[in-house]
Order: sequence, then C-alpha cells, then structure tokens
Amino acid sequence: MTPDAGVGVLEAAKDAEAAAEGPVLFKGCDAIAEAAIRSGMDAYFAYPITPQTDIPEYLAEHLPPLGKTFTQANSEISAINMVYGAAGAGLRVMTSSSSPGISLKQEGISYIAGAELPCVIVNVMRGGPGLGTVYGSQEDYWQSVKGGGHGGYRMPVLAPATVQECADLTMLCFRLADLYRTPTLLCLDGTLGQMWENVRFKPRDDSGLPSKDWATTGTRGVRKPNLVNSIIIEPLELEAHNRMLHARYARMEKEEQRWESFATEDADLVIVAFGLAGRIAHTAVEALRKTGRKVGLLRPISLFPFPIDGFRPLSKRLRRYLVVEMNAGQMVEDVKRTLFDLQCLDPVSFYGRQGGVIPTPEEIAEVVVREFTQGGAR
Amino acid sequence: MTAPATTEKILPRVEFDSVECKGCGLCIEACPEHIVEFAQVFNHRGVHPTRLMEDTLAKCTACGNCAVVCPDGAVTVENLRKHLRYGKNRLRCGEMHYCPGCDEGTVHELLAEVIDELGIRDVTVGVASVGCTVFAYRYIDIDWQQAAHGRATSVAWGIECQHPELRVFTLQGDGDLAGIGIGETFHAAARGDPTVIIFLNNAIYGMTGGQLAPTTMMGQKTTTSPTGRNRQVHGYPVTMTEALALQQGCSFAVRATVHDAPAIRKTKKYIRQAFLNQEKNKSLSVLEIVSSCPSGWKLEPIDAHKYLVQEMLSVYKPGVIKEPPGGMPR
Repeated sequence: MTPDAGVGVLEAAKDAEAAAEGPVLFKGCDAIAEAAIRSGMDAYFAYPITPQTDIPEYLAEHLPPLGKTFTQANSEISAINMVYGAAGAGLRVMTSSSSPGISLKQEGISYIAGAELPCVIVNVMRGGPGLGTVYGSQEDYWQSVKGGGHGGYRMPVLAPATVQECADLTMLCFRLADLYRTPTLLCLDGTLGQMWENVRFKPRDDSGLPSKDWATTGTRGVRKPNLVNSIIIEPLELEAHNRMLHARYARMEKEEQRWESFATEDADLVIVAFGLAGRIAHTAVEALRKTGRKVGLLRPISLFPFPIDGFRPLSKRLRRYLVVEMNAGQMVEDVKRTLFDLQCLDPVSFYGRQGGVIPTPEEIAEVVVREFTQGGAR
Repeated sequence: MTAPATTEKILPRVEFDSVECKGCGLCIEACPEHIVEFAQVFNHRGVHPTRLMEDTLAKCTACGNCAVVCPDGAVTVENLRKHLRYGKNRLRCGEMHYCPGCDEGTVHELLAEVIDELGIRDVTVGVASVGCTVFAYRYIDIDWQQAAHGRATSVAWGIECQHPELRVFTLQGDGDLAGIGIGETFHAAARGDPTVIIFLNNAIYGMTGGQLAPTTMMGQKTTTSPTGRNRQVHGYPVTMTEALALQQGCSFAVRATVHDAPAIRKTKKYIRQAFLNQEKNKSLSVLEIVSSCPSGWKLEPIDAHKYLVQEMLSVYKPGVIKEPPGGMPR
C-alpha cells in the first residue's frame, strides 16, 4: 500500500529516530521481524516451524498493535496463498519458514512469480532432506536460486552473514520486491537465526518505487478492473509474458549483484562462501593471513543474481578457489560456471559439512593449508 | 386521443441470440407455454440455435424463464407492462468457455446481477481458483484474482485482511473446495473470514475431463470410477457445507440448486443474502450450489438436470443449513 503523505511523514520521523538510536542487541530472527515492521509491512502470514518460530512470535506481539495483520495460517501452503492475495491487493507482505515449510510454499511462490507480485519470503534453513534436523544448514541453495517451484522463474535471493545484515537485507528484500514486482527470498541458516548481535536499524528507502496501480483494491468507480493472474493459456502469449519476466531477471543480474571481498587482491587462494560459512571463512582467512598465507574471501551476498562481477577482477591472474558450504556442494556449481564464463580455468575445490554440522575456522584453515601443500588438485 | 383498452395486451419483447446460443435446449424445457424450439439452421458453432416459434409472441407471458435458465445470456425477455427485464446483466462480459448447458454460466449471471443490484461493483473482488471457474475473471467486469487449486479462501483472506471495505467472494468447484483445498476452506470458516464462498458442486472434475470428485455420488460413473463410485475404492461423498456450518466463524450456510427457473430465482435470493450477511456479520457465508456437468456426466443438459434432481438432492439437500444470528438477511 502506498502510504499517503501524512503516514509517510510520520514514518520518516520514526526513521530519523531509528537512525539516531544506538545499536541494540537482537537475535537474527527478531532482527528480521523488526526490520520487516520498519519496512512498513502491512501483513504477515506463516506457520510455526523450527528454527524460525521466533519471527512469528515476535510479529504476533508487535504487529497487531500497529493495526497490521498477523495471521498464523493452517499450513505453509495456506500462508503463501494469503501472501499472494495480500500482495495482489497491494500490501507489503512477508512470510517466513524453514526448509520443509519452504518446500510446501513452492507452488505458491511459482504463482506469485508468474503473477508478478512483490513479497518477501524468509527461509531460515535447516538440515535435510526430509524432516532432517532443526540445526542450521545451507542445503537449500539449489532450491533457492534455481527456481524451487515449477516454471523456470527466478527471484532475488539474499544471504546475510550477520544479524546486522539480517536487518539490512530484509529491508532490501522489501525494496527489491516492489522495484521489480517479484518475490524475494532472504536465505539464512538456523544458527544465524538464533544468534544474538548488536544491530543498528537503518532508515527505510522507498525512493523510486513504482506505484501499485495493478492491485485489486476495487475499481472505486475510477478505473477498469484489475486482474491478478498467472494463467496464460495461449503459448505465444505465455512466451511473450515469460520473455518479459526473463528480461527483468536479466536486469536484476545487471543491477543487483552484491558481494563482500576480503583480502582478495593479492590472494593466491580465494575462499568462496556465503552466509554463516562465509562468516566462519572470514575468521579462517584472518588467522591464515597472520601466518603469511595469501588467502582471501569472496562472500556472495546476492545468491541470485550470482555476483559474477565480484569474480571479474580476480580472474585476471591465476589463483585457486576453495568453495566452502554447509552442504555437499551446491554453490560450487555456480562458481565453476562463473569462472568458465570469465574464461578462467583456475582450479576450484570444495569443502563442505552437512546435516547441520558447522565447520570451524580451524577446520577451514586446515583445508586451505592442505590445498597449498598438495597443490589443490581438483 | 383515446386511452388504450385495458384488455389490450402489451406484447413482450423477446430476443434469442442465435450467435451466442450453444444449443443446450434448456430454454425449450423451461418455457411453460411450449413456444420455444430449435431452428432448422446451424449457427457458427454447428448447433441449432433456439428461437421463438413463429407467430407465438401473443402466447408469451413474459415470465422470463427462458432467459433465466440460459447459461450464456443468449435470451432476453422484456416485460414491457411491468418494466421487467430478464437477460444478460451489464457487468457480464466475454464469451464463456463453458460447455453447452453448463450451470456455471447461470451462476455467473446471478452473481453479476446481485453485485450490480447491491451497488457494490466498485468494491468487489472475486477470487477464481483452478477448476472450470478459473476463467471467471473473463466474464464479470470487476477486480479479480486467480488462485491456485484449492487456495481461494486463503487468497481471499490476504485480500481482505487490511481492506475491510472490500467485498471479497470466491468461486470454487468441488474438487477445489472439498478436495485439495479442504484445509483452507475449513480454516476460513474457523477464522470467520468475511468472505462469501460460492461453491459449485457438480460432483465431478469438469476441467480435467470428468474424474471422480470428493462429492461424486455413490454409484456414479466417472473416468476414474468407471464402474461407479463404491465405498471400498472411493469412500463416501463429502458434505462440506454441513461441516462448515458447524464452525463458529461461519454465520450463514445454505445449499441451493439451479436445475430450473424457480430454483435459479431462489439461488439468486441466497446469493444476495450471502453478500448482505457478509456486510452485516463480517464472518464466513457459504452458498453451495448443486449443479450439473453435462459433459462430465455424459448426459444431455436436460437429462443432467433430471439426474441432479433424482440423485443428488437427496444427499445434498437444498435449504438453509445455518441461519445467521438475528435471522435471514434482507
């Protein structure tokens, strides 16, 4: 819902107040919930699942007093379809879940992508497949960036590594959703969701966002009826629609790549890791640098679009890459593809832990040292 | 100038649109004066369109039954004496994809009429979910959202949760509402969402070509119950409206049918009451409409209505199942 001037002024005042605030101690999940409120979220729908239940619990307490909607749906499927309806009615809207629940939402996400509806989906990942474990993992990378649901759609996927980023990227998800009329996915592991850190909430940025004149809010006697829809039976019409969507994805790939580079310039070996694995790898790089090893870190923040531009300066000379993930090797495929696209034949190796096991910095440092001494054969 | 003699009859205006007509013949069956017939010629659809028999206009009582039962709005009757008009409502648009004799077109007309007569067109949002009703957005000129199979009531709640001024209704089939979406439907009743559910129960999956539905009758043959529904293989039919009526958040539950003109007129009254109840009680109103699927049932439209009356109405009994607090809305 586009706020009217009065509300806008009010929220700007609140933002200024927020900006003046000192850092506050927040849990990852709570920071996401609070950032969503500060993004002007109108409605939130979800179903409980560990390890993200802190988000609905926080919002159950803080959202209704603002006159906003909190609904605990009867299932994840129901929740994502409430998101569809609310987004279609022009609301700023979010749902959150954890891996098995995100699987349940996939049909709805595909419909949302097809119908071009802006919304935010949060996946606080846990170990799988199946019911798996409640401990954090990164096993949903493929599901997150390669569609997940049917029909070949894409959506921005952002992966925080700190509680501060949980807050910042939640707000960015809302912005990108409205900017591109797309679902957006915030993707973090369960450990980060449960981690406490200091956060400073940033002011909300609504600059340049398009109006939602397509929303189904009743014709009000002033316009032609609107339709929120994902069914396009005629192949040529659907092809044209899909081409439009894919042109939008191409624009995201051009405009919305995000990553963090740390000590990569002179690095002989670059670790590539996202989210919590990236954060742990950061500690490992710091330790290795102290021993004189030329190691750096490239941490993708946007998983889609994948930050090929982050690799571009690195590809100018021969290096070695080590991809570290909390899964059996998923993002490593995109790293290899990216280097191939950059006509870079540097060796890429992989190290991963699975099932909710978190690698230690020492463990990663050990793998790096082995790479150096053994030549890092693929 | 002399006043017209009181005995002089003012003839009605009757129009049969031979292009729109799909040749189902329901108007022939509905005419109490037996003055409607099939034309000898074919129209562009390859069917004989119906028409008024030659020189019979004087016999026409302008009851409007032929127009009321026409699913495609192809018949217009104007009673010039009483200033009554039966035919396509102005909110209707598009040529319907429904098969000849399909009751869904009739329900579209009733919905359009009620929305128009209540003057709520500007604040009404329809939700059409997967099944034959998914293209409903093409036929009534209001805001629509198309929903995934079974999820209409969840989508409806999303639309209305921050927009209490909107009048949201869902148009759902039996597979959608009583099969894949039973959880969504049930919880809409439990929450007491201010949605109007229009539930078209034709005891079959129409869009996919006539498979067994949750509401298929015992013994009824479908493509996935070729020897008839039996208890061992398929279990029993689901009676959803009674189940929904048991929930506190459902304030109005009624079952109607559309097999003939009087039934259709009654159904329109119920639709109107459902929308009035939505405004008054801000909780769930459900209107089940027992309807036929001639194509899926592999019956002529008139025979399909006979089957509906003989077989379905004993299991899906028409009438008010739950009256709203404070009595029926007016």
